[in-house]
Amino acid sequence: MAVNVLNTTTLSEALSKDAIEFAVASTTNISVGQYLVISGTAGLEAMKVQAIPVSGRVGVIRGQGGTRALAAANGTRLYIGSPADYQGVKDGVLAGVNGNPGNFGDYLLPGLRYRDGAGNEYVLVELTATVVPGTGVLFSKDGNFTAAPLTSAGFGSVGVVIEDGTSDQYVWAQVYGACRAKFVGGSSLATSTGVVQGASSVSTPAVGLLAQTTSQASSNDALIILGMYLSSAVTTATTSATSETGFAANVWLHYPFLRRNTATS
Amino acid sequence: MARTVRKVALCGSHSLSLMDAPWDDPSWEFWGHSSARGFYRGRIDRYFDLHPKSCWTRAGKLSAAYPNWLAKNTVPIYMQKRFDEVPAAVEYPKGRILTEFGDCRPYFTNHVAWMIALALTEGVATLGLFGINYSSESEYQRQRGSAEYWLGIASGRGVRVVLPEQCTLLRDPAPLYGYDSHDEVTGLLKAEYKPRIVKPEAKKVPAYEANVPLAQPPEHIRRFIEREEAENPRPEWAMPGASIVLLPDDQIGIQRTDGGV
Repeated sequence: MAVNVLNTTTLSEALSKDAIEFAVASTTNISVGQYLVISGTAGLEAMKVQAIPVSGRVGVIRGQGGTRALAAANGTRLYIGSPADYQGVKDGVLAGVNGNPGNFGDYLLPGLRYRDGAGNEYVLVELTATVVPGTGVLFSKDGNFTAAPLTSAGFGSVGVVIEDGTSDQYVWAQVYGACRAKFVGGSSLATSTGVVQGASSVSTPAVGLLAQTTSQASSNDALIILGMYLSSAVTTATTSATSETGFAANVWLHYPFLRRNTATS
Repeated sequence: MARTVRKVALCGSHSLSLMDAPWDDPSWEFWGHSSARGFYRGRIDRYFDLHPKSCWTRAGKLSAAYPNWLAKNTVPIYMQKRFDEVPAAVEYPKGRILTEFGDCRPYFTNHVAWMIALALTEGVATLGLFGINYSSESEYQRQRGSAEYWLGIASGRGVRVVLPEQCTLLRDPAPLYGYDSHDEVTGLLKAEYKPRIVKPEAKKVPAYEANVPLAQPPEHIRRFIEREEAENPRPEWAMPGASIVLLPDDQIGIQRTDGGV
């Protein structure tokens, strides 16, 4: 299930493996005894806050909870929380998956990959907009795995969220295997030979995807999502609890991504 | 720990026989094939990739992940020649090897043959093969003879050859022909000597974050994927494609247990 995000700050200087005090963008939400965690593509390290000598600086014990000290670049995101906060996130995100959850660590944060018992794969993302199950989302390329419904303008890795969520929540987005995706409407919808594009219009709530026949697809093939394949005809679907504003189809995901749109870049 | 006797472990990706590789024993050197690097849980001292450049730059075969790895790798990697884009590349001494082994047949049909020959020129005393079996139904069948030939050369030169129990090289079939190969009552060949049912080649599934094998796509989607991957190399910013593996139809739902270098 969706879980509310933790507070974050960022490094204000590059972090070496042996530094025990460093500058951060803000110490507003940090207190002694909390843990700062580096996650995502930067790696994983938990640090226990020992002191806040002055505003904007923290003293820490490095490599806590079975993690190892990492070097990290200036600007790297730091998650802030107490052990109970991280446990709450862990309980919440694990409640959103089926099958064998395997052995998870203490810090389940955006970027975490998970494979269910059927061989489907998911990544935990941080939402920046409201989604419904089946919404196609674009992942940020900064290593923080923030995600928002697709549009035709962006580019990056793509997933299909499997649960409801709103801004500032963590949810699972599927990136591999069979799933049900939702689409904005169209006059003549695609069959299993069609293609999937980022939506050029936004429904409410946004579902991010547009299914088209190959002849309908834009001449700019950079709009086509690679690694996402329709496996059934498109049918009318409910995109929210109260309205039928879109369509749905089975898709196969193969770590999809949307290339840079050459028409807009 | 100083090495007093040269012990070289040649490593492939046959998972059953790779399990016994002595990763934690510092008396061994480890030489491996770079395309199998995802299978190795310990250090590798030398990599080998003697394929032509077109093999590792061909779009769709390995995506951009392998060339990127080659550009960043710092472990010496023996290749046909040095390449500017592969800083750790070492030119394999093909001419010297062919000259030095002029009394042997130039029977080099696989990487193991080249690796054994190089090890022999460097005074290896013990050769171990781990993760190398040449038993699946693929080009490995055609390459098996050469691997056994060079193991024989090594053994004949006094090198101790270590093969894990799961490796069938030099011992298949096991019964001594004539004495033990036929049933004493019926006179018929024993099963070990009957035509072998060769396992189809299984694609490589490098270690991943979970032990569950990836689900397999329907056939028509598999074709889409293969075509798309060939035509559209995965950008660096996209979620990794190097770990993506499509199994043959008859391997779907089965974890890989066989293969070769």
